[in-house]
Amino acid sequence: MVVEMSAQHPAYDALPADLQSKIFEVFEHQGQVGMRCNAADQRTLLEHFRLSQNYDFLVDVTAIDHLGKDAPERFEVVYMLRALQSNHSFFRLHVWLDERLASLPSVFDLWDSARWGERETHDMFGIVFDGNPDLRRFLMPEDFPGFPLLKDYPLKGRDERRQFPKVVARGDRMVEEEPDPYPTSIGRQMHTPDYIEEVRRDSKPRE
Amino acid sequence: MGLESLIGGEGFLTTTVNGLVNWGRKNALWPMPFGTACCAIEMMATFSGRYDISRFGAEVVRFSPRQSDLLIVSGRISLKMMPVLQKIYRQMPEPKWVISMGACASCGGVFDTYTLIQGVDQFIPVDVYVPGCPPRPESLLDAVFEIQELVGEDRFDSGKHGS
Amino acid sequence: MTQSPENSGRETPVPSAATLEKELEKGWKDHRSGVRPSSVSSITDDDGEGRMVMNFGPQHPATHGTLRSIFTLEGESIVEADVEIGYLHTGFEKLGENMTYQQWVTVSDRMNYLSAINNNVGYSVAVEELLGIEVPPRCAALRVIMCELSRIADHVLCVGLQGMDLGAFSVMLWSFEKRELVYDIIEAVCGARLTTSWTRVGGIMRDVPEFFPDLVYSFLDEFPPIIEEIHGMLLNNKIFVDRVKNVGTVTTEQARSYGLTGPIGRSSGLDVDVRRDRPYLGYENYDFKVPLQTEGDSFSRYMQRMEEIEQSLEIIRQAMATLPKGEVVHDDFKTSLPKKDAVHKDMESLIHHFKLVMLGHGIRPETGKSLYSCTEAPCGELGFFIASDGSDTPYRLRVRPPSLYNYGLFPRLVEGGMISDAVAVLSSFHVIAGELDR
Repeated sequence: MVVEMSAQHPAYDALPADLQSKIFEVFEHQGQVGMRCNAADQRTLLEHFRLSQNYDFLVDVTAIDHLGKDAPERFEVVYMLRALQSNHSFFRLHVWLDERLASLPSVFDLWDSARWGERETHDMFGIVFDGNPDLRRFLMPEDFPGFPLLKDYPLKGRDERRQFPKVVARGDRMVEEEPDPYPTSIGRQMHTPDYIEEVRRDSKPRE
Repeated sequence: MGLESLIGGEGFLTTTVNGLVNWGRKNALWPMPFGTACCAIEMMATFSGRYDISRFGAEVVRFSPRQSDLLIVSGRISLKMMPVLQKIYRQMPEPKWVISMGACASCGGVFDTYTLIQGVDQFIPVDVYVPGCPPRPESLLDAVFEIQELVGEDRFDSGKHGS
Repeated sequence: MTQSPENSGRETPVPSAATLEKELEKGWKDHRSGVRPSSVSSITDDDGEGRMVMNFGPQHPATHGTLRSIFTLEGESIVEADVEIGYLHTGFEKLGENMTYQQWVTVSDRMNYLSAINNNVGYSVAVEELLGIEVPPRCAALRVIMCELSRIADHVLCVGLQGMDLGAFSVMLWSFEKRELVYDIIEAVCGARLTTSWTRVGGIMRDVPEFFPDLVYSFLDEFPPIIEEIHGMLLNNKIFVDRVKNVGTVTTEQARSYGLTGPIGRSSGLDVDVRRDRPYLGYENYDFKVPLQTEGDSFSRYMQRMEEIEQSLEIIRQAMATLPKGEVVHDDFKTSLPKKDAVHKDMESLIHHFKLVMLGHGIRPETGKSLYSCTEAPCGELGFFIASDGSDTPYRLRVRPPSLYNYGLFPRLVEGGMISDAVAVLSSFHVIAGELDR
């Protein structure tokens, strides 16, 4: 298998040959090395790095959504590993992940910091980590209909932030009413067709 | 309530009692700090030694809504926090006033995103807004003075605050 | 959201748009009225075994910010603990994809709002590393001084709140008074007390005023007595010491596995400090110790923070003594803003300013490059992973929050203890909700 090697890293050099073939690119930028692999090889590679090469500190787990861009797959899950003993040697493992499958084996048994790292990546992107004991929604409400950091989710949301009743006092009771129809009460003149059109236009994802 | 129906009307006794009640209420506001983010730190600085809010009577900061009458919403309110805010607001007994401190609570502030409420006044009634990101402690003290003026103009038998 | 035509044998199928629309109706009605579905919120009373599920937060004086814990109690001891976060989630990472590199600095100080300068500097260091530029030495030294001042403010507040949660209320008031000294300096330099937005890509907003050395030296005279005062109040207070000694013990192995950094990691014997291990902004020129404790309980976290305050004072002294003169902004105007008076007079500076500020132009790193860069924030290792696509906004801006990974250990730690120990542990962990939820 042709490996694009534009950089060196001791972690790559110490891999056995069968695992080295699973990494198809080693690249670097400003002195920091990244390696790419496919979703199928993620677990074996991470197990090797943790158990045989003593990369015992998982700095972070995150993902990038390449919707609409010219990339092999839609999701790129990034693991950032550090070896505290070997002079804090650091590299990133980028895993290409197919959108329709959208699931990876969890690595919570290798690093406990992956429990919450994967949970947050699931919450933000919808990627499922099989085996993670606790994959509930994290930062968003439990029943939130969507995954915010996907590129087709608009910045201003789909109006979930206005779905609350208004609590007012009427006489000696607190009642719930419908909220005001315009987004903010400051600047009530902004409730015009032009403003509504502007809000609708801004709610689309940025090109 | 019983008292005003006994006294009734707009007489000398009523206005004096009104003035007395208002004087007592405004000089002993009990704040309920609903601090979430950066504004909460400035609110804590207002409650502390240098910008002392207890000079103006609002000393008894008890974190229980059942025992307070001034809700200070300081900080950004997200989707998850909004039901909590409404619950706390409903738990406060009448009469109660609300200060919306900071840009995020008043209008969403810097953050026009999918998860932040663009102004809590859409969902709970607000009496005084304090601009700033975060407002200086002096601005919060100014807001307390405004609330005190509002309280001073209140009529305790007007039915507005449910009495 | 992912519109997948087939679910390919997964256990939790990706919901389709139509299903979610229906769920929206029902789920949002429940959310609005405060009914919370599923496992987190099965708040019931005594379930027959003498256990009670108690909710702690998100609005509570002893939770530092909007943190919610759900404890299953048997008497006073916690049998099971669960946490729920996200009450302050603002979408900073999504904002990063829509704001330019220069604009996001304003967002970064709302993360760890107790020490906003550390966030500004952390973000600017990350962007500068991605672009491959170096700041001038004066700028680096000033950034170090302000970072350490901010770190002192954060630590002294944490210790004060730790005292307040355990009953020593005066300590909180005293530490707030000393924080005001730091605020005076920050206000003179940055213009704002709390949300400073001080750094720019390639430099800082502007140079410090001429009376800056007087400010800092008078601070260095007035501040150190508080350390002795706090020690005197808390170490001789048997109640405080008994409530924090051997409470919430974190082993080195747990710290390594859960990704703990900062004072919490170092107080458990895990010797990591970004300033020493991967120096940035000239930290290798300053001679400072990195304190390390081995017990890992709340008491050693308290001692760790106090020792770090002393080390920060030492760094400030050295930086002030060796403060170089010169420019404070990198001189490549493709990435850094030129000086304002030059912009008003000189055509070329005006053009550079225009190109950097207008949308669509701006700072453009190389396409397809990404970098993870970290600095030492008061809470731990604050990291930024920025992926660029060649445009003036990042393609992906990931914040690695130290508080998230620190807080991950909290549920395990309090199980088996008592509620009052949970309060002591939480206050010593010093989790900042703004950074946790972003």
